[in-house]
Amino acid sequence: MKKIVFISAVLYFMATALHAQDFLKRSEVHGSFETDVMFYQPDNALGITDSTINGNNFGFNAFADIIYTLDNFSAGFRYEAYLPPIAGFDTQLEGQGFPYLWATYNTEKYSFTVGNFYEQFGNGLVLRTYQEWSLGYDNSINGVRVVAEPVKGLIFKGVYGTQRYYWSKWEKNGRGVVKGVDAELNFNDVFKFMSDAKLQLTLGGSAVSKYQADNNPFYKMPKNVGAFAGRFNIGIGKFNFTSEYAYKINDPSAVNNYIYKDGQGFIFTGSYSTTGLGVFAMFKRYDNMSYKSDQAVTGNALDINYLPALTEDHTYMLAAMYPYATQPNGEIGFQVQVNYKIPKKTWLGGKYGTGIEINYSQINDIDRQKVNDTTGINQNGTLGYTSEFFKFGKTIFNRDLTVKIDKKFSKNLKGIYTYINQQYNQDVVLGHTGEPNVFAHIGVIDMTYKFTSKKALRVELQGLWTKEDKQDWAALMFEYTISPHWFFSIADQYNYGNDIAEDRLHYYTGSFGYTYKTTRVSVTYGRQREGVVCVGGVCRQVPASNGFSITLSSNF
Amino acid sequence: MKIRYLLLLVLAAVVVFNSCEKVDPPYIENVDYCSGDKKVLLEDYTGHQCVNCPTAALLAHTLQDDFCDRVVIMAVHAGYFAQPTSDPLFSSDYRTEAGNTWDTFFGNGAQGNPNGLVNRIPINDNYVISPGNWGTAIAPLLQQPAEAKMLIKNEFNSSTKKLTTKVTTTFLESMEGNIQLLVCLTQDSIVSAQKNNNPDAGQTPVEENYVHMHMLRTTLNGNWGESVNGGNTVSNGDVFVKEYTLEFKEEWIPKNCHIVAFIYHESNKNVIQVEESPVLN
Repeated sequence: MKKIVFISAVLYFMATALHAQDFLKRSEVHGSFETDVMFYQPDNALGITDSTINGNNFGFNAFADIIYTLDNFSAGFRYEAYLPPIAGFDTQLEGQGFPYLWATYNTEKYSFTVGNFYEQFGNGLVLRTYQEWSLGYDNSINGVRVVAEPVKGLIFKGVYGTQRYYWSKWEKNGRGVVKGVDAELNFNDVFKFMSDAKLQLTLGGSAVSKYQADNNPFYKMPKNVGAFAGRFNIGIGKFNFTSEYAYKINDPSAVNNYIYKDGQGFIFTGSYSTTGLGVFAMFKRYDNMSYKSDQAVTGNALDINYLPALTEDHTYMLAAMYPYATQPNGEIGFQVQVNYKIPKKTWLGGKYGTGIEINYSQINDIDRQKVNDTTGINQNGTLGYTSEFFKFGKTIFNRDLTVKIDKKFSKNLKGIYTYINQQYNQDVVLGHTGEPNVFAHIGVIDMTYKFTSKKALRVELQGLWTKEDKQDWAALMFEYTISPHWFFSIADQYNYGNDIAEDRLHYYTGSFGYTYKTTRVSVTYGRQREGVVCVGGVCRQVPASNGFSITLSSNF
Repeated sequence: MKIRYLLLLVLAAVVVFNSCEKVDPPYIENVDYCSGDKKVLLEDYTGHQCVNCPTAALLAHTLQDDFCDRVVIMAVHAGYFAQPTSDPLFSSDYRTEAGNTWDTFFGNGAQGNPNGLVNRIPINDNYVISPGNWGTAIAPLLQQPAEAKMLIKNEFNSSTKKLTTKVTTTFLESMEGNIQLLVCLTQDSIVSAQKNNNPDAGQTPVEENYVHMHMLRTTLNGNWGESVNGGNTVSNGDVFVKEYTLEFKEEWIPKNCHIVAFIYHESNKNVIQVEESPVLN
């Protein structure tokens, strides 16, 4: 009897072990890590003293994303730590834990997710959840998502859940519950007669609603706020057109000063592309389109939707000084961009050809008129205002003309030359109440010289000239790269034209980095000037600081 | 395409479409705010160079009406936008020592004017409340029973220009901890320039003859007041009387001035009760 038990046990364990081996073979684990550490030190010129630092001379942001996959099943988590958050990140992030846990099961036609997920309907006008590490932004939904593609080209999505709000656990009668459905039909995939058609057509539609208990003792709040959107994408040969219109029912909130006006969002883009020439144009209008799952929350949190940005994203140090933040309460604007490649072996194109990019964008306030003689514009507890759909308001929020020329002179030397003319409304965009619009001219010369196939030196020379804000700046940067492992960089931004002599400061930085396969470490020392960081029109303030920063990132 | 997918989509869309509520006016809850003895202190942190501040001041007055005069407004000029400039229009300095101290402590200026404090009670760990949320913050407080009654008796001697203020506090509930009394002087109808972007509040971008109301001028007992109970437990019915004197400056016009007195928990700064009384009765 004992033998039988023993043999059975051995067989069982062998079978389990074999099964486990098979299980392990089919399993995959991937992940990514990043750690950002900042050490602050006093800097009297920046007004940072020991007493202002007050012992908080250390900032630490870190995350680890782990994904496990077994056949059709996958699951993962993200660990985050802000102990304490680096200066400029929302202090409500302070803490550590696992804010993102999920499991997904995929079949050929379906995908089921429970836990946290990111999702986007169309352009995001009524729903987009995403994470942006550089902003400390995460509005993921914690709940259930189903995606079905019953036939190729027809996709249905359904989401239900509550959104992340820093480290706060959802509680009954707290922040709202989000539910939404989306359908997208690609005619060329679904209908055989269109499979080879020149006309490419996709239609989509979304409906989203949030439920939040009415805890507001002052205003009559709608408990259910719905938003709807329809969209298309048409491609005909070298032309492509996309558009989306969204409508939101009354949604009084702290962001819109508790007005009961409906909201509208509209974007239209058209592009033409052929060899050597690309033309892109975009029009957008947002009117009272902040859509959050908690009506009392302001700032970068609990957004259900996303309002795509329209302005050119500048990356050069001084060009990025005045970035535009999308104004959800209302803005109207357009953008036109032309890219042209002057052919090589022509007088202007030279031996290698010359690239030209011209971009112009302008964003104004929307037109706002009183709803009646006795109600002020945007007065709380009213319909707020009326607005003509295509009429531009008088106030300019941002205007930007960028001309960029890139030119290769030889096998070893190339350059990019940029001129930017900018008008920037600090009052509205940065909330610097009463400060005048900035009118700035910005010039950048960016030259790269390759010594060998692996060693290159890049030099940036930049200038920013304005009579407003902190007046004139100059910047210089040298970056030496030894591919694929090393880079060394020194830079200085000098506010030489500041009207206040003692504020004519140098913002110097020195940094180096080492990359080995997928692991990268970089160290920077120097001054950080006060400013704003924006990604896709969503921004956060960055205070002036001085010290060391270390970044370590890796993925596998 | 199978019909069940269409049905499913229609069903889901119906569920979401039904999740929509159109609110009809009036949009403000019909609550009787005229009964009740509790009053709420609304401190409007402002500055003459703040273009959005006149809108906030209008809102504060609207709320005072909405809440049946149970909101006591104090306009605290402090922070960057309250600084005097070389421009003669804005050369006046309306800042006060107490206002500057509170502005630093609560962080109003750092968060950008206009904003305010509602009974000095934080929401989401933040004392500073944007104007859009003032009504929402005030309403529930006014629905609470009063924990104390305050009576202010002012006697102004016009020949000596000396004000004597007697503040009588009667507790209606027992409470522990140190309870502070702070007595302030505010002044209405100060005509002076104000930057402005709201045509309903005056000329834009500058209203040269803006009428400043509820402006904090000084305090009668320091920046944080003084203890009424010496840290001892107070019981229902306990009465405390404090008396202060103040010599009026030339620019303080007695007929436009009020005394604002409030008691608060020293530990968390939360205001318990507030009262306002004109200097000339």
